[in-house]
Amino acid sequence: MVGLSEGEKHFIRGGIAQDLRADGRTRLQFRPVIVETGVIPQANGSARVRLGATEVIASVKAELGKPTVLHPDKGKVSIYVDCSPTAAPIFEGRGSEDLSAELSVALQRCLLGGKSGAGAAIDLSSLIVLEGKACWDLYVDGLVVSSDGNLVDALAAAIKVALSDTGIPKVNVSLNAETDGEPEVDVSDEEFLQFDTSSVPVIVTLTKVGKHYIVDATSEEESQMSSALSVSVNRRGQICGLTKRGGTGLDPTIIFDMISVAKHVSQRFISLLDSEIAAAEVVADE
Amino acid sequence: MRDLHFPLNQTQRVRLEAALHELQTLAPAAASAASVTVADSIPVNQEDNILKIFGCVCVFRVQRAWCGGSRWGGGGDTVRRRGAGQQACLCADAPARYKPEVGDIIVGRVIEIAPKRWRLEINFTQDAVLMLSSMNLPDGIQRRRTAVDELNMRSIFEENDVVCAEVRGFQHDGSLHLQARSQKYGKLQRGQLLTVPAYLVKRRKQHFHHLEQYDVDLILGCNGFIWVGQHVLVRENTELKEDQHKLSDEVDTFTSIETRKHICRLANAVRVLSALGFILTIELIIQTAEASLSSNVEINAMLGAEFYVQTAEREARRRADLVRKKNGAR
Repeated sequence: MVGLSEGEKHFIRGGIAQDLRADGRTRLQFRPVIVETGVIPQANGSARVRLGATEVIASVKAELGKPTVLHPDKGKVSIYVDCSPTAAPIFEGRGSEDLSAELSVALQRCLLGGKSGAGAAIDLSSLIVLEGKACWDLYVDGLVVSSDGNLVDALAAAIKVALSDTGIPKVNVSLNAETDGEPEVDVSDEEFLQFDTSSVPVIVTLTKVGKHYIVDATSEEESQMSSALSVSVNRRGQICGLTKRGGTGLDPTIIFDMISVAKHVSQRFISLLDSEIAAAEVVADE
Repeated sequence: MRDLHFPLNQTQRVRLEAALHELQTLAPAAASAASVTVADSIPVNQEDNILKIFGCVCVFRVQRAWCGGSRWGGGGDTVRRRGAGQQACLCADAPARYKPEVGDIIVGRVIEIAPKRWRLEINFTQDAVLMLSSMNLPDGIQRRRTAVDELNMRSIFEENDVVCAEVRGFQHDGSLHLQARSQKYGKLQRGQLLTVPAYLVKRRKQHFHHLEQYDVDLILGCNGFIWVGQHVLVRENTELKEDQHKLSDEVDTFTSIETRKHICRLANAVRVLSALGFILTIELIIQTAEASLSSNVEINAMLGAEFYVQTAEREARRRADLVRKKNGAR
């Protein structure tokens, strides 16, 4: 990222204080969102989301696996994010490890629920094929293609859309009564189960600059942040996850205020994403 | 400059294609040749000796060269001509890199402070050099630079500062030598820096524009860096120290909301025009900003699909009127 001079930083801070940012947005406005589905044909589901100049791709791959001993009735989901060197020169080689790890953890926290699997956004029991023996493992991969701030929101939106685009093949299980060993699983090529993503939450990141918070910060605005709070909200207005970044401490009352602002903004974002998903489905059907 | 991204619906796509098609047909109208083939004679004007056709640049060593139209994206037809005598032609893709000339006014960003000089990044293959001796000292006295001056270079320009300067010449390795001796050159604060492809900024008589009606300074750097900022009075040398105090107690010194609105409108006008590939002139930028104001387009909606299409249509209409007037005048 290019450095900014003191005068430019002053200008950005002034804009945020006066509710008129560098590109004319108010503090709580998102950049135009562009959503495409099915960008990776080999994956079970995929999506590309563009938020201004930030571009991310999410793909979902489903493979048959064995459920864990602790949760024999649940499937598994793993989320992993990678930053492509095309986004920034520092992402070459191992430069992106820290950022990728941070993004992966933030998304896992918001979408996968607790250690026991409770509160996960995706109903893991729907991934089971044969209790104790076979289940679907979902590998959700995110790739940051171009970075201009607000990666967490874009990735969460891409994952939500990719999940809505995901088709899990139907399986026919035939139990081999003789050996109590591996059942025969016949994976159908024709029929697919679609996910219901209406309960998948989105993430809204509020970046605090000076005394005000902004939504959807560009990378220039993020360079001025004192702290940032990523709130994951679902359609019912419930908080599904919370991540705070930045070294500056925040007063608890400010956190509550930020959460309520995030809830308010997220409803608009969720309805926008849902309409984009519906539009993409129409295009796919044609 | 990153391209604008937004979804275009069907009607907008149709309108945009119609406007771009009209512009394409209008562009060669001035030279009355829609396409060029081998052995054609190409009419030319004095301005510079580059010919742009559909994203390709042809360099002719002829007396006159025609230049016009916009770039419609990479690729396109290449025209190769080999004529007798002095006509020679090379074709290459229209470069986004800057081609410097002595006397150009450019805007750059300081990336390094080296002994007795600053290195600036200016969207060129090499960094430009601004010597300490080519810069006015804060106290305004013309004197030999001492070692103390060298140690205090940081008080004049720091890393990442945006600086406006003039090209003085070329060094032996091809990099640029800059000078900033006049009062109008120097550090730029209180505004935003935009990056556009360098070929969209043509060399004119004036690159500094003080827009009085908006209280805004607009500097069109020939290297494609465009500065839109609050107007600063031609600096007194003592202001440098005052600025540092001012920046520290901030809230009182933020740019006023009225000026900021104008700065954002002009910046967005530049972004839309560069995304469309139109040559940036001060008149066009002001017209676009005023059109957005008069049609009540919100500042951030200027970066949306509707305004993008409207700007293309407006430009097509304007060029059509110009051609009509020219033909009518004959």
